[in-house]
Amino acid sequence: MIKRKLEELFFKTLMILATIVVTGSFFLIVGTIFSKGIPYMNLDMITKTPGGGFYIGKEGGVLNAIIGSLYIAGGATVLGLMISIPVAIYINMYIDGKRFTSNIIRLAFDVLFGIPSIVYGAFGFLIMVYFGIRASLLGGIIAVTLLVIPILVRTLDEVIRTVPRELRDATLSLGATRWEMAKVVLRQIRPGIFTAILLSFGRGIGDVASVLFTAGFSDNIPTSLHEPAATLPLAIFFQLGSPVEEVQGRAYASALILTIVVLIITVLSQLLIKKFSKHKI
Amino acid sequence: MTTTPHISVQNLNVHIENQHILKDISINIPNKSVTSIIGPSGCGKTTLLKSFNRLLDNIPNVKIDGKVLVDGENIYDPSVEVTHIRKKMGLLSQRPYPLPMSVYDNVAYGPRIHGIRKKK
Repeated sequence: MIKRKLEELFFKTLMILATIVVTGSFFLIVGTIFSKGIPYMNLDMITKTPGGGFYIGKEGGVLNAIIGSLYIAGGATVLGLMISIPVAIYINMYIDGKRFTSNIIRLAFDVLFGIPSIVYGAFGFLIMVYFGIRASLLGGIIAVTLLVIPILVRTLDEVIRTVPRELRDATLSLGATRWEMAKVVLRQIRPGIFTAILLSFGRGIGDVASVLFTAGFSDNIPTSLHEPAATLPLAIFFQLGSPVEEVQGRAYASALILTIVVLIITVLSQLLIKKFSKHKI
Repeated sequence: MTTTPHISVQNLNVHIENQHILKDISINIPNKSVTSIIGPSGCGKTTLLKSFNRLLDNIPNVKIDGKVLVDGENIYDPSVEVTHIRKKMGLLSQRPYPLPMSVYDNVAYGPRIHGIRKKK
């Protein structure tokens, strides 16, 4: 009997420790960003583009990078959804009689999921060279779209698979076509779609390697798809590399902005998930 | 009482994942009467019912041989349109599952997809 109790105690302690480590490091990271970033945080940081001497510690802000990041992550998520929703529907609802085919496609997306983002950056760069696009907002969006498609497809796929067979059968036995069934299933998984958007946006806004070659960097806010665009992670990278203390501090302030943007997106999507969970059991 | 059978199953064999589920079933189900199919759990009652409106088609690795005639029309004939079969033949599953919409829309869903709109 005592052995069972010890075992229980041992694994419980292990779980508590693991939880403390994970939660602790979250607060450590956020704490570091806050304590180092707050002193350099001011209104200029989020309302101005870099001025002439920004990278040696003079006036300006990172508005160019904030807007650039939002454009790229937002554009890539929208574009990614337009490609991945049809894929997820197709592999789950149109070829489910042939499990082999859909599993091959799933395997392909699993592999794509694991490919480091620098490869997507390089691949995106190749596509750009082929089409004669220079480092621009468009290039960045293409590369990040490639990066987020596997995330979106796999998330949507998992969500669609949680939809009970009975729901599909219910629509089908009323004489619905597959697309009509898919529309009902899409309604059912609306909260899941928002989770997928959240994951892909978070990944897209934080990724450096894929935008390194493709989006370029600019001190101006991009006004068209063909202009180079700055991104927050790259801005952080450049500023951290500076020997000037002021600029390094601003890197942390930029990291703080990035964290807050992600936080806002997370809270917003949670609210939307609640709203769209209506009419569900 | 010798009416023509409403549903007529002829030599129906169903294999799912290489398991022989329905073995050579032949049965005539008469019109305008209640027919009950009884048997122990897992003997294929649901599979038989699902074969009547081709819901079996969506199960992976399924193999169906034989004929199911509804009003004299073989529903497994390749030229038959599935949605047309299912419009005539409803099936309420063991665990009913409401569609993710309001009760009104749930009730109206069937008629709506078949083109009946805004009739209360």
